[in-house]
Amino acid sequence: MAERNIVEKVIALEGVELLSSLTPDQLSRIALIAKEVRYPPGQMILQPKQPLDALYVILDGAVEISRGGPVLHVARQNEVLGSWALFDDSPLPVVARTVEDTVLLKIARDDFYDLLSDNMELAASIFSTLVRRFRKLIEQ
Amino acid sequence: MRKWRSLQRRVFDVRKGEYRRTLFVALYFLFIMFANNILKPVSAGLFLNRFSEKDLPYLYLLIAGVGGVLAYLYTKVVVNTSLRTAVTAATLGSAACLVLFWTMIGTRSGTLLYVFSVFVSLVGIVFISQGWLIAANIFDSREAKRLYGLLGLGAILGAALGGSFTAFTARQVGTKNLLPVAALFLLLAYLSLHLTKSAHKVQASSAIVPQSRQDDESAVNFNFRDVLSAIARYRHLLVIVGIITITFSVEILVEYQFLAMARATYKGDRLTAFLGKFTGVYLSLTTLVLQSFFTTLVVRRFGVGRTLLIAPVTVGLGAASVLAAPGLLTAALTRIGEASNRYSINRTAIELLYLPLPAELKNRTKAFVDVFVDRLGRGVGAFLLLFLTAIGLTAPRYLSLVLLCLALGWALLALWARKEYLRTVEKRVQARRLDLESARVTVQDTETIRVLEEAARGENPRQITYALSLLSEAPGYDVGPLLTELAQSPLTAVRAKVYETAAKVSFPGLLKPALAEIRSGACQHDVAGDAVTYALAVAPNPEELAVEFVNHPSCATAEAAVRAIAARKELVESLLTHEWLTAAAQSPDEDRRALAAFSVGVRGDEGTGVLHDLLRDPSPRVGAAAIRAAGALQNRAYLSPLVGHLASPRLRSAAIEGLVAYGEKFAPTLGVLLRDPSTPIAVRRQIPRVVAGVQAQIAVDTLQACLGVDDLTVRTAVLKALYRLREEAPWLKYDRQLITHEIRREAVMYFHLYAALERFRHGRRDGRATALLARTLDDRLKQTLDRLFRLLGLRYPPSQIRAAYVAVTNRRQEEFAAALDFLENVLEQDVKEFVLPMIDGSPHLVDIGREEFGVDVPDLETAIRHHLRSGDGWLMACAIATAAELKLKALWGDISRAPDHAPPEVAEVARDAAAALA
Repeated sequence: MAERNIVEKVIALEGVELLSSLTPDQLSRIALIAKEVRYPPGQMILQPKQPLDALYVILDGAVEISRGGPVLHVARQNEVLGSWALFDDSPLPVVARTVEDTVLLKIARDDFYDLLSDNMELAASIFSTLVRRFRKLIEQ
Repeated sequence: MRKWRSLQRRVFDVRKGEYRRTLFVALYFLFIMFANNILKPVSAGLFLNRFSEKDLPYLYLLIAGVGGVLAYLYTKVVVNTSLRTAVTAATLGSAACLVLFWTMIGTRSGTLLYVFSVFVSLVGIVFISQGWLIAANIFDSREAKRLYGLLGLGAILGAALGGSFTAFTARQVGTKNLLPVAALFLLLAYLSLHLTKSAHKVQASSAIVPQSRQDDESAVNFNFRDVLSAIARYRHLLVIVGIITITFSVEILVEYQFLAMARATYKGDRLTAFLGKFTGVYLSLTTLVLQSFFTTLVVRRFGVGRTLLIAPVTVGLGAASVLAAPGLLTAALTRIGEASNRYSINRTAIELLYLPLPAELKNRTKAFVDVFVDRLGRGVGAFLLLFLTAIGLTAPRYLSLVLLCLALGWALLALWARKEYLRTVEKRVQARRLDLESARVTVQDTETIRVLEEAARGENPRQITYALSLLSEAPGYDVGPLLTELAQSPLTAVRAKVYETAAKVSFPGLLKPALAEIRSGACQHDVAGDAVTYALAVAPNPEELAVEFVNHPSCATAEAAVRAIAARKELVESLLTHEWLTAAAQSPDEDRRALAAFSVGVRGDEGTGVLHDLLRDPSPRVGAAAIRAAGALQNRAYLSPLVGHLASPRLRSAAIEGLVAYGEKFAPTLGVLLRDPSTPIAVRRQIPRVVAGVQAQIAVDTLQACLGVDDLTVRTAVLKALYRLREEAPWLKYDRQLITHEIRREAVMYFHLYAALERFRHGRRDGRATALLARTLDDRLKQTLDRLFRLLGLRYPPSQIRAAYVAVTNRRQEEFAAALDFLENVLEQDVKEFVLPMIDGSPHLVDIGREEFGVDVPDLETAIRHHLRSGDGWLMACAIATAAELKLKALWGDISRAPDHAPPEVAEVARDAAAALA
C-alpha cells in the first residue's frame, strides 16, 4: 500500500493535541518530515529503558500500552504515542506493542528541531500550546 | 444602482442580532420626540401669546436655574437608584403632571405658564438624555457608529410627526387638549424601552437595573463633587462640557433672534401656526434629511472630530447671512441650520465623543453632563442676552457678530475635542502595553554605600556584581580594597566582574592574582577574558604578556589576548603571523580553528586564504566565528558563502550578523538576490532580516523594490523587515504611493480569498479535505490581514497600528471597539472605505469586494481551479484533494498535469487525486 500523501498526513496530525494550535499550513510542514512506518503484530514501539526519539501517531491498527503487566489501554487510530518525546528523551515507564498490523506516522525529534529552528511561528504556536497545558495543570 | 446599493448599505447597516434592539430604541426616540413636539409648540404658543419676546431671557434663565436644580435631583435619582427606577419615575411623574397641567392651565394663568414652560423644556432634555444613555449601554461603539444614525432618524420622524400633528389638530381640539396625547406618547416610549430590554437581555438589563453589588456601591458613593472632580480630572469630559455649553448658549441666541423676527412678522394665531409649521415641517424635514442621508456618512467619512466642526461652521455662515441681510428668512435659515445640526450630526458626534470613556465614568457623568450642562449653556446664553439688552445691542446685526465670535470659539473647542478623543482612544488601545524603563540607583549617601558593601560581601553573585558596579561608579569611593577582597571569591562570575571593574578604574593591585589565575591552567572561560584584558591593561610589560597569552594552550585565554591587542596594530602583525593563523586553522581542535577565524577578523586576510576554508568548516562554532570575521572584514569575496549560510538554521544568526556588518553598500545586491526566483527560498526569506539590519534609506528603498515578489512568505518577510525599520529607524522615508498601492493589493488578495471561502461557507460540504481547504483559506485571510496591518504601519504610527492589530485579532469586545474607533479616526478615506469593513467583519464584504475591486464569488469549480493554479504548494495540495473528494471530474486535466510543475509532495497528492477521478 502506498504511503499517505501530505494532505492525508495533515488530516491525521490534526488529531494530535500537542499540535492543536497549528494552522493547516504549519501542519503541512510537519507532515513533510513525518515518515510513515508499518509494523507487524507484536512489534515493540516503546520500552521502559529505550530513550524516546520520536512521536508516533497511529494511522491504522492498534497498540497496547502496559507497564509490563496487564494492558492499561489499547491505542487506536489518531492516538499519539510519546507526545513528550519531542521535548524530552527520557524513557517512558511503559511498554507499547502492536497488536495487529499497524501503520504509524513517525516524527523524529531531530527533524522536528530543525523544522522549529527554521519556522519561528511554528515554534511559537507549540510553545503557546505547552503554556496552556502548564497553566491548566497549575489550575488543577 | 451600484451607488444606491452602496449608499443603502452604509446608511442602513443593521446586522444580525441588532434588529430588535435598533427597532425598539428607535421607537422610543420616535415616541419621545412626538410628545416633545406637541409640548414645545404648545408651551411656546401659550407663552408668546401671553408675554412678549422681551420676557424670553427671564424664561431662559428660569429654565436654566430651576431646570439645573431639577436636573441635579434627577441625576441623583439615576445614580442612587437605577436607571430603570429613574425612567419609571420620570415617565409616570411626567404623564401625571401633564394631566394636572391640562386641568389647571387657563387663559390668564401667567405664573403657571412659566412653570409649564420650564417643565416642558425639562421633559425634552431628560427623556432624550435617558434614551441616549440607554443606547450607549445597549450598543458598543462599533455598533453605535452604524446605528446611532438610525436612532436619530426615529427621533426626527417623531419630531416631524409630532409637529405636524400639533399644527393640524391644535385648532380642532384646542391647544390645551393636546397635553393628554403627549402623556400617552410618553407611556408608549416607556413600553418600547421595556421591549428593548427583553430584546437584549444582558446588556440592557445591566443598563437599566444595576445587577452587581459593585454597581450599587458605586452608585451610592456618587455625589455632586464627585462628578465635578471627574469632569475636572478628565480633559475629555471637560471638552464635552465646553462644547455642550457653547452649543446651548448659541441655541438661545439663535432662537431669540428667530422668535423676535417671527413675532415682528406674525401676531396671535398666525404666530402659533407659523411656529408649529416651522418646527414640525421645515425644521424636522431638514433634520430628517440630514439624519437619514448624511449623519452616518458624514461621521464615517470625517470621523468624530471633524464632524464636530460642521455645527460651528453652519452657525458662522448663518450669522454672516443675517449680518449681510437681516430678516425672517435669514434668521429662519440660521435657526434651521443650527437646530437641525444640533439634533442630527452634532448630536450624534457628541454621543460618539462619550464612547471611548470607561463605561463606569460614562454612566456616572453622562446624565449629569447632558442635563445640567445643557441648562448651564442656556443660562450663559440668557445672561448674554440680558447683558446685550442692557447695553441696547439686541439688533440682529449685533447678535450676529456675537454669534460669529461664539462660532469661532466653538470651532476651536471642536478641534481640541478631536485631539482629546484620539488621545483617549489611543490610551485605551495601548492600555495593555507595558512600558518598563530600567531604573538605576545613584549612590551618594553613606547609608546606601554601607548597604551596597554588605550586598557585595554577600553570597548572591548577581547582587555582588551589581553592587560592585554601582560602587565603582560612586563619586569619591575607593573601590580598591573591596576589589582585592573579592578577587579571592570562589565564584567565577564575581572574579570576572572584579577584573572587569579593576580594568575600568585602572586599579593595578590585582595583577598578581590575575596572572596566577591565567597561568594556573585551571582558569575558567568566564574569568579568562576579563583577567587577560585586565593584565594587559595594567601590566608594565604588556608585549611580553601578549606573546605568552596569544600562544597560551587555553583558547579562551588566547582569544581574550587577541581581543585585547586588537587596537595595537604592530602587536597584532607581529603575533598573528600567516604561519600562526595557518597552524591554528588546521588544528584538529575546533576551538583553535574558531580562534583562527576570530584572529583573521582582527588581523585582516592579507596574504592568507584560511578564512575561505574556515567558512566551509563543518563545525557550526568555527563556521559562526568565520562568518563574523568575514563580516568584520567586509570583503566582497566572502559575500556568496555568507548568503548561502542564511539557509542553515545553525549558522543563520551569525550569517545575518556578518552580512549586516557589511553595511549598506551591498543592500542593492541583496535586493537582486531577494527578487531572483532562482535563489533558494530559505535564503530569500532571510535576506530581508539582513537588509533591515542596515538602518539606512537604501535598506527601505531596497525592500520597497522587493514588495512585488510573488512568493507570499517572502513578501511577508519583506513587510516584517520594513515594519521593523519603521519602528527602529523612524527617520527613514517610505513611498506613500507605493504603500497605498500595496495596501490595495493586499485588500484584493483578501477579497479574493474571502469570496472563495464564501463558496465553502455556504456550501455545507463537510468532507475532510474540503474542510482543510476552508481552514487554510481562513488562515490565509488572517495572514493577509497581518500583512495589511504591517503596511498600514508603514503609513501611520506603527506602535499604535500594532496595538490596534493586537486588539483586532484578540477580539475582546472593548479593546476591539476602541481599535475600530482609533482606525476610523486615523485612517484616510482612500484606505478606510475598504479596510474598516474587512476588520469589522461586515456582512457586506462580498458586495464591497465586487464593487470596489471587481471580485465576484466564483463557482466551486472555478474557486478550486484558481487555487490549483496558484503556485502556492500547500493550497494546491488542498485544492487537489478537495477536487478529488468532491469528484470534480472537470478538473482532472489540471490535476493530471500538476505533477509536471508542482513540488514533489503536491505531485504525490495530484497522482492520488487523478487516479481517484479517472
